[in-house]
Amino acid sequence: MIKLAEGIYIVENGVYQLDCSAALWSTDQIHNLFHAAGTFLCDTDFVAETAGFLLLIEYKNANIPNAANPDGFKPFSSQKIDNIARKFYDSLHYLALEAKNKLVRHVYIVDFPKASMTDRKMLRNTIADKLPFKMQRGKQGKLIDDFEVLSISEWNGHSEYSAFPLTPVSQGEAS
Amino acid sequence: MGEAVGGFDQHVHSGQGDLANSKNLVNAINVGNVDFDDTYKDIISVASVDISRGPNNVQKNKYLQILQGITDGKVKYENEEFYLLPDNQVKLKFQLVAEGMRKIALLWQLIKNGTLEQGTVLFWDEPEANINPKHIPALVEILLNLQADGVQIFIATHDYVLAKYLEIRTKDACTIHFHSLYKKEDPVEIESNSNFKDLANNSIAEAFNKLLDEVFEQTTKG
Repeated sequence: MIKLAEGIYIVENGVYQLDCSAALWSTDQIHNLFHAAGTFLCDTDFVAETAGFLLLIEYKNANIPNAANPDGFKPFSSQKIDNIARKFYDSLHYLALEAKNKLVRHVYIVDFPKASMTDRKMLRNTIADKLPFKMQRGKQGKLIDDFEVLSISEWNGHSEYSAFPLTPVSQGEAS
Repeated sequence: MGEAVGGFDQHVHSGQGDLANSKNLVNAINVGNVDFDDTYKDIISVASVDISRGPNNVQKNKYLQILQGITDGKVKYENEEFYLLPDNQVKLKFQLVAEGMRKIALLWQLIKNGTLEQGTVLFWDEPEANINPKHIPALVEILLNLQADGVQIFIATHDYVLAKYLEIRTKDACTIHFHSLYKKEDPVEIESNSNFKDLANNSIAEAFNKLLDEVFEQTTKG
């Protein structure tokens, strides 16, 4: 992933960019840190911090023409489900190292052929079962505050997350 | 659902209950003893054409094999009564066969006897009714193949699984239109789209979404 201006990131395949310039703080460096340290930890693609919460953002777009292995993308496979959940858990280590202790929300932005809102809600519910919602019941601390699975369009229309627009990269920026 | 293919010779309205009680029904309708919609009489008549002993061509076979896999048997018309002939079992009167299976068996019979072929039209109200959801993928595969072979199909459904399978299994050669009929004020409005997911007025998806949200609430909030 290429970093442009502060807080603007080119996402997978170079077709879209995520503009986190309105965030208090943001990064796409979890992967690099985990990799450089030789850990086996998994990472979410981006973190954006607002006044009220930290947002862990995972992105996958199997709809674009040059998507990596679009036919092989199985959003409901148990391997993929587990992988998305694991990325959340592992990324908490990064937030701890950065001394970030606000409520954490997790968003999986995903588009794939013929996906409907119902499909995304099914996916959300399946992944949510693997996230620490049940584990944290009755505890004083909270590992996760909310989880959503959104299309790019839903992300850009979201009441809070639209502050970080995900838009096609213009020709000049992509080169 | 369905795109015009032209040259319609017959119209088939698929009803399953009528075959179970078909004996003498056509005669009774004809003499005015009972009052039934003509479509019931028509479907009994076309289904009664019994050529079940004849050889099948390759095209028919691909359908019949799938349908037999669901019903575990073939249809037999004998002495003005319909029977299902399960493998290694005695023949069953249609009245004794589960309603969903009768529906599949009727489809088998209409394909077998040549009623459903290129140039015909199939109207099917809620194919999903009384059918085990595990059979829906096979049913959808048959419908899409029939359409590709020149049968125009109209389906009314309230089932997410059926609609979604139709959407995702559609082949390039097939054209599907999803029409949503909904009431805004007084007149019934219609919205059409080639993708089920893109219907804005989609009460089937809305019902599913509401359930999924409730499940999510329970998972996350307890």
